[in-house]
Amino acid sequence: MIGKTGIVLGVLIMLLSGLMLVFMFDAPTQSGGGLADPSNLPVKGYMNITLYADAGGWNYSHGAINPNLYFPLYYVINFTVIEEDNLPHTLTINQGPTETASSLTLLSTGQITQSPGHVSKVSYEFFKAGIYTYWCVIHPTTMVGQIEINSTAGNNTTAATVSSTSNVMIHSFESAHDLSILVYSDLSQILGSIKAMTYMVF
Amino acid sequence: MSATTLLVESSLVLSFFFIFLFLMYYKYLSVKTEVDVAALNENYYDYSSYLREKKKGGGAISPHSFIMNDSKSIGIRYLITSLIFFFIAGTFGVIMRVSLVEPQPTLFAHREVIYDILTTEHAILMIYMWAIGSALGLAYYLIPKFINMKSDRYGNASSWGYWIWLMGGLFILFSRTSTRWYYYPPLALQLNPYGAGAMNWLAVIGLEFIMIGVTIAAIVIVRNIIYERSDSMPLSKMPLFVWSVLFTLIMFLASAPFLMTAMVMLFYDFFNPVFFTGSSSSPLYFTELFWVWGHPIVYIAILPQFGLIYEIIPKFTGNKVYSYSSGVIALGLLLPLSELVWGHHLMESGLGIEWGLFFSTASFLVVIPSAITVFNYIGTLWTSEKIRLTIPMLFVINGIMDFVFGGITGVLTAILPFNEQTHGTYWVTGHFHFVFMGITVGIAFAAIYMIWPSLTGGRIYSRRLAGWHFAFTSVGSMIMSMGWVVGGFMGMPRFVSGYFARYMVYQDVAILGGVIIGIGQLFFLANLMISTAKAPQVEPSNVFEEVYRKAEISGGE
Repeated sequence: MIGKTGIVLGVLIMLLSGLMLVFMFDAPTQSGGGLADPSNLPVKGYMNITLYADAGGWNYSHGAINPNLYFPLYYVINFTVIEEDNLPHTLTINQGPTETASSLTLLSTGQITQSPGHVSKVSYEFFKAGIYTYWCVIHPTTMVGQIEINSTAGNNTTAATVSSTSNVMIHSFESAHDLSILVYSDLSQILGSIKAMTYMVF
Repeated sequence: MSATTLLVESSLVLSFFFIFLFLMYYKYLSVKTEVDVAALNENYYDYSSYLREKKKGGGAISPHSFIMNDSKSIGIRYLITSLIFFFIAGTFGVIMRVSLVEPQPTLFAHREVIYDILTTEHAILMIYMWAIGSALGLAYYLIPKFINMKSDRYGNASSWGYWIWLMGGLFILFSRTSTRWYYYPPLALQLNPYGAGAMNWLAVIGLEFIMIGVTIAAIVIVRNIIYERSDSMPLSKMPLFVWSVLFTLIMFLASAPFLMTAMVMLFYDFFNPVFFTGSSSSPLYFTELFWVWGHPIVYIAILPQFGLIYEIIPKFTGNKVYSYSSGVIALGLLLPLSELVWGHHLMESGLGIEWGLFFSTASFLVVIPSAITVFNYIGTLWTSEKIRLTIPMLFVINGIMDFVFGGITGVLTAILPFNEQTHGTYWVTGHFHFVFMGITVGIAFAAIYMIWPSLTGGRIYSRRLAGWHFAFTSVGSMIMSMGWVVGGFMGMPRFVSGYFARYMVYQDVAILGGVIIGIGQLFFLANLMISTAKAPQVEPSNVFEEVYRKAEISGGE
């Protein structure tokens, strides 16, 4: 009565196991479609920027609130975050124009010490032009602003201290450098051809 | 093409489509009415079981079981699906193991995320799709005859439960998540390849779906056991397998809401991280919610199989179960105890020494019912005249031994200082692979071999291939878990794609075992394909059900 159902089931099991394995091997392994930090970036210079962390907004009592920041490419930006209001804050920089935990977090201070005047420092070198977001994960609606990275150091660079000498370098992403091999291994190429063959069969 | 032409053509196509749909529905209705009348004439409650028994060969593996809603068909659905997922997740496990052949990542060099994805998918699919799926499948398949069910209602709800469960499993498979099976935030909230994978939100929905599906199935089965049980079968005479399923599902229903709540909160945290990663909350909250569910699940994965052992042993020893009441009491004791021990997963999380002692003591108490169960098996074997070492019986004996190994390695970790040494190491992996390979996998296969003629419409399996399947599975799992237990005792950490070179020997031993297990399962597939290719040789009767079918005749009023 059941005829060849068992054979069909057996073949189906083996096919599905192989297909799913290929599917898993095909998973994206790099952030933001290949936006891992490449090693040996050219460093054109250093810029310092100070941000005051206040639940009302970045730089709440220091001029414009949540200013848009403009930086040139290949400059190491030293961020100095100063606690203002006894509340927990983070300086978190994400890829993309809006603050969301789902886009790649490039940089985060973690929760800074909650005593007014406390200074935290992080630095990051932007190597792709585009719009980034800096925000506080605890106050995502009030403390959020945009960073624009220009491909050339134009006139509209944010008034920040620019120095060409080596500065306090706390590069927070040194471990990421190890992960950032942009060259695919031979395995993935083999898998790619297997996948192409499977797609042709089906 | 002008807009008018487009409008006319599309409306014509739509009309034909609706006419076709109407015809299909008309056809379906008339056939269903016909079958309903026929079923009523033959004193069947529902048309599905009438169709299954009269027209479609009576509860064998077939695509028909995916459209019929009687208990047996749904059981076959669960069995087929869980087998498929067992092989998918098993392939992941073997490949993941092979990649650890050297201390530095080999197969996944520079793409270590793939290892995390494989380990996550292996764990989630094995637990939720294979362990729960096969247990539900056997429960749906066997219980109606075990309790001489009066009527087979709520097949529709069971069907919904199955499809929701399957959809959840597919969501998890396609999400390629690299969160671990416990979904800890903040890792689970990081939707990028370095975190939990870009599609982890789908895995959260998938797990929620699985829980909803299994909840539906659990309610239907518990209801069937309580209300649809034959009048001639009082609770005091209910088969031990039915008891174990009842306790399992009550345990499930008692602990599932914690995980379902936690998953909803986790999903909300994707948009607004207030519950687990906000300034006034802690990821520890999630771990508590998870493990209140996460500990009962490991009992849910083995309890139905405990019941199956009670059913299998008497078939091959000709002996009654040594002590029926202590069997029921032991299974029942696990119910409250399993809800009290979740903290032993968090002993290094800073709960404090008082809580540590409490959970340590509670974990030791679990030994009592487990030991009662094991001694009950041993007593049954001990008092029997002779033991027929058939394939299911070999699986059972191997399962008991593996459970003893796994139980001892498990209860040792409840000692607080020992836990400090082995927490987060391969010791734990070895511990639960002893139990899962011996009990969950072994006994499920033993039950499948028992009902083989019934499942395949009268075929018998090749004993030679089944023997190889058993030998490879048991020897491989022993080698693999032993390698892990010894390496873990030396401090070999879990869940990593590389390791320190001094652990290489333990990892390579485990790889040997893992590959042996993987090869062993191919014998099962070969057996399935070869035996179904042959003509039916025996009556498609079900050895499990024979006993209870007779009981209905002699035990009735």
